[in-house]
Amino acid sequence: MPKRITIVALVAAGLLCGCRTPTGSTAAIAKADAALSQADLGAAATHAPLELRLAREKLARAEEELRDERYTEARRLAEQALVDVQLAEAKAQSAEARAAADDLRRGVQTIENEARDGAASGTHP
Amino acid sequence: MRRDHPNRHHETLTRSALAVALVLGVACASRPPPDELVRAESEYEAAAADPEVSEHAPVALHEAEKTLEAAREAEDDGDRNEAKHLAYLATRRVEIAREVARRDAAQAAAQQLGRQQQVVAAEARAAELQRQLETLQARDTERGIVLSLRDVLFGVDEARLQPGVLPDLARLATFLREHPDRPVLIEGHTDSTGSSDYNLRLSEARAASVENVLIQNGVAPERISARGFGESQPIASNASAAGRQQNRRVEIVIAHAPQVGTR
Repeated sequence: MPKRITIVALVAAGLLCGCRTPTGSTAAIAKADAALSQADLGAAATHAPLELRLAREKLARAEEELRDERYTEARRLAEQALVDVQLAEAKAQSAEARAAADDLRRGVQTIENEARDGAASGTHP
Repeated sequence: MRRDHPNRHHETLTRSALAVALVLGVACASRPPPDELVRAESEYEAAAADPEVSEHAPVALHEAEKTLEAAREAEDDGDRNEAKHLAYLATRRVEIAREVARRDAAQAAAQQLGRQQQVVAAEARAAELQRQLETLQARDTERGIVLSLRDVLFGVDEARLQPGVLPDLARLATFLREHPDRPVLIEGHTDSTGSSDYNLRLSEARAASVENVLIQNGVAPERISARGFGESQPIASNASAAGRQQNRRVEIVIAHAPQVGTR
């Protein structure tokens, strides 16, 4: 939770002294952070851990850049973190959809095999 | 006054031309786009040419295209770092489009497989029924499907079923559970040997024991009616041993489902 508080504080700071802090970078960081916390709870954590780790690292670097007042770098890193999270989630969704289709395919195969075996034993009792 | 200095005028022209040439020269020899942008372009082109992606993920593909255009603009504006950054985003968005397409294709396949599974399962059930009915010597009559359990399936002068017939009845019960709309009639019959009272009671008791097995196997009791007919409905002559054997039987009638709308 301290991380979240830091970010809220940073966003607030960004809004208050917009003259000195480009809000673009704080907003981008907040967006990436929200997406990342969301993704950590979902299927992306199991299906695309690599992308999520990459996103986490970039977000941490973005926060460092922000502290050093390098706003452009901060914004870019946060935007990249967000797109990495989005890719992780897309990968997770497609992996789950393919797993579901594979399950169905196996189910159909099983029924067909059983029917064939049953028919064979039925004609040759 | 210029006329007095024609050379100077010429000199100015030459210098301007040189400057223009220099500017043009710099433009012509401008740096090639960064690798990130080149890669983003080719990833995008490949995805856009892939019918699966363009068909299943047009929105995600468009997002990638817009980002790519922004990257090109940044490069044209000379902002190389922003161009590289946007190129990274564009490349990732192409990957997202590919994943979205794979997800949608898998979902479409799953739907198709679901329909196929229903068809295959129905066929399998029909084939299974056919086999079950074969083992129970079923025949199709106007009353419905009639199965005959010959008396060898019961103990001599007993209502108790031989254990060997129980699996067949369990399969019949399974079929009946899958067709809950069909009423079941169980009818016991005997030959004419012995007193008719005794035969009636034996036929009732045998019908009841078949009924019990079906109920134990999960068939709703209210669907089943069991009756004993004793010796009153022979299907063969009681004068021969073979005929008497045919007459000793329990028939299970799987009646047709009541027609909707008839009273």
